[in-house]
Amino acid sequence: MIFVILLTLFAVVLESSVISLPLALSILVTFSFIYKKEWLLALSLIIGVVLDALALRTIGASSLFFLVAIFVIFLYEKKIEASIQVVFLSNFVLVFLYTFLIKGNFSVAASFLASSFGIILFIIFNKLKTVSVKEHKLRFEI
Amino acid sequence: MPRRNLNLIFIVLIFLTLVLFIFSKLQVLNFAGNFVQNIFAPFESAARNIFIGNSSDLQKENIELAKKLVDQQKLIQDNKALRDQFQTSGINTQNLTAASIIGSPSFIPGVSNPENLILDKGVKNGVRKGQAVIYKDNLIGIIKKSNDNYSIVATLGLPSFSLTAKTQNDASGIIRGQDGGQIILENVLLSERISKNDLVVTLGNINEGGFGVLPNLIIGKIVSVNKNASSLFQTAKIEPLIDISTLSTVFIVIN
Repeated sequence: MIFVILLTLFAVVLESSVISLPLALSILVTFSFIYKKEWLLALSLIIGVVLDALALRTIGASSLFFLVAIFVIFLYEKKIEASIQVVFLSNFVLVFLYTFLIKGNFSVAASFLASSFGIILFIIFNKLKTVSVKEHKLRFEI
Repeated sequence: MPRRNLNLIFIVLIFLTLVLFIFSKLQVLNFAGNFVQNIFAPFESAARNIFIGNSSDLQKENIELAKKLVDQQKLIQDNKALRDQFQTSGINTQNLTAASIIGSPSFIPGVSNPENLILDKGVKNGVRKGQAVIYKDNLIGIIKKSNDNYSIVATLGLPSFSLTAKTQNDASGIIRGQDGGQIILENVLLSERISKNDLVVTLGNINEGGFGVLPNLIIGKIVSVNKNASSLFQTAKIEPLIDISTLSTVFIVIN
């Protein structure tokens, strides 16, 4: 959890100072597929507030979008299996909508890059999660 | 996770967000915004320095030479106009405020140019909407919005940016930003003579409140001219002499 928070905050700093890719959204979407925990909703709110404050936007706009996006993912978590394709498509659509609705511009390239970043995160953390679950099971059997 | 819990948490958080949104719209949350900005400013600055860095010596020398060229041109104009007070410009250093660039959202290094810059100076430092932002007599942009501690600069490459300008041969036109951070000089009469490598400077646009852009600030040099005999006007593509993405400090003309 702490690692996710730190990673998201780092993405927020990058997003507000160096690059325009919505990395924070991509991280939140990807982790909501992997971990499916309620605290991700609270994290979405906080990250959205920080992001809006740093970009001098109306505070709450990004949080609203993040919350709805994560909530929709949670709603459909049982109906859709979290695969690479699903994570990529969700990231792509959400990043596209976010840049269009909140930032006022849209870029297919940015959506593609952010989605690719999400996929990389998904592969890495899904593997780590699988290894951790296996270790846990082994320990339980012993 | 249980659906009921999820719905409840979502409703509570959405309500909280809506409250924040409304308060922010009513400008009640300015202090909270400033607080968050103050905490993250050092990290933003560090990230910018790590990923973008500072301008090279060669660029600095280039800027110095361009400044001298404009100064010389200005001197010639002064003689021509018999030292007409209105055609002279100069920025008193007492009217300048140094500001650090702490952010450049919508900027992808190597892909696009920065369209907006976030500076660490705001209303408390005398920064107001419409003030010019410069770097060694080069116009960087205009203050678009400012709060207590921070301000956003609309750079020349922003698609909504427009400003009156003239070339070193006194051909006047309008500077406009284009997608991807390009700068175009438009509305130049066909009869006017503009050519590649001509320097383009501001015409001067100070409003009744005393804010705006002073004349003879360098915008850039012409890299290509688009002249069509059937058109009323000719256009030119302009390249700034300064790579904004490499700057870390700029100056705001506060008076």
